[in-house]
Amino acid sequence: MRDQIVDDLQLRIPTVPLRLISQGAEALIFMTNQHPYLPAGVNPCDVDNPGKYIIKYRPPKPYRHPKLDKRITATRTSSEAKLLHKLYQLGVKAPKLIAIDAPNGLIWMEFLGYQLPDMRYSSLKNWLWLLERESDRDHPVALADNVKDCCNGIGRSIGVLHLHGIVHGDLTTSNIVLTDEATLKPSLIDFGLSSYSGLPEDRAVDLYVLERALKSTHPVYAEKYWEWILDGYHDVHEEDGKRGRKKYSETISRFKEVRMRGRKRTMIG
Amino acid sequence: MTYSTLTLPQFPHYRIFASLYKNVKNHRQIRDGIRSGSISADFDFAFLNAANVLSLEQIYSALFRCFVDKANGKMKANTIHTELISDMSTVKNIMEALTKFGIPSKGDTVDLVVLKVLYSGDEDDSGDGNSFSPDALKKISGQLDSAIENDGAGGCCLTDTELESTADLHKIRKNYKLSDLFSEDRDRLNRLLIGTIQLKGL
Repeated sequence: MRDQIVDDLQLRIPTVPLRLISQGAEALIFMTNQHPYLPAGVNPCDVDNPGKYIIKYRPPKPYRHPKLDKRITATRTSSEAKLLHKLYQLGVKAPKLIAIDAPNGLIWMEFLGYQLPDMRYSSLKNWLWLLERESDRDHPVALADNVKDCCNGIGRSIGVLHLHGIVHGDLTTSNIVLTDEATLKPSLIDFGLSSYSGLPEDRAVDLYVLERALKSTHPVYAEKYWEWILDGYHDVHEEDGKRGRKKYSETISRFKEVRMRGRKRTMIG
Repeated sequence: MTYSTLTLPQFPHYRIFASLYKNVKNHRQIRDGIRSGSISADFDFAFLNAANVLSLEQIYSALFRCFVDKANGKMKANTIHTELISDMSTVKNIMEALTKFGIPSKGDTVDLVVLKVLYSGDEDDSGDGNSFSPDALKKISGQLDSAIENDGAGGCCLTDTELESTADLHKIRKNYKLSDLFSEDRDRLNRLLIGTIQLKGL
């Protein structure tokens, strides 16, 4: 099934070498060294890692009516691409949009991240795991200042998103990546489930999902990480002034409720 | 008579003739000729006002958009060159796109980017005989040199360095409706334009 999808895509873009790196429920993620419209030797400007690009492909769903399927694919693809562009406009670190072929469910974007010393990809999860392995009682490197700064940065990014009425929708420790080995600047990725929402409920669920993800993947230090993320989240709201402070207190009080009851609302009545 | 040939990795069967004509004096005459249809049918190009063009990447991005739409049967204009001008623009209305991004009507002299889409090898599906060959390029270049008056300077290679001198940041800000988003930083501005071009009409 999966091989068939990859073959079909390869037939559609035969000149583009594809390497499958991840697969989700809705899309396949490929890496390629081929820019969709710039010839070799011409580098795109203002892009991390020129020569490495991500292709996100939403294949047709055989169980949907073909016409409806095309429309759904095109809408979801273009709304994700629009969001990436919006984030660039807002100055939030996220993969930059390079190209889109909406009817065929294709988005090309900037590749973010680097290889960690243990050869793994620099997702927040892999990085923290690496540090946690290296930590001991005398040298808790997983709780060093650079981790704190990074967590603050993550909180700030989420805060900016929320202040602009955007919820990420799938905040996990693998959907946060470090983009630079020297500065450890974090970025959010995978905006496939993102949407615009003004509801404190949606923002609270965003936070709750991340807190849960942290607790399950980093049980020992999760509390500290979470505290630092919330600090950043708080600061960026504080800097926004009165409106930000109000939004912050709405979100946090809702967050406490969500924590009590879980992500899904009760279905009484 | 100098020009460049552009190719897109994902659409290898297209070759694009590209040239930059600076200080063009008879732009009104060419514009009127195209509008009234009095110019011969094989005078078929995409003329862009170079003031709106910041980089080659921006042109490549519009070409990609144009070829993707063509492959998907989603072209809005009747010809590939009109489609290309429309893809460079932010406006839906094709006449408005031609006014703002095509040959300008004002100004004593203007700078024009000229593009022509050619088909290489046996994949000529255009039916209009715009096949690619070195001779075809020379012929096109000659045709333009004799039609465009710019003190005999002719066309020059389309490069980012050349475009840097012909781009007009104020025009770009206005025509791409950037207002507050506008940035003096060319790299940032370039990405804003590319995003706009890719997402137009979606």
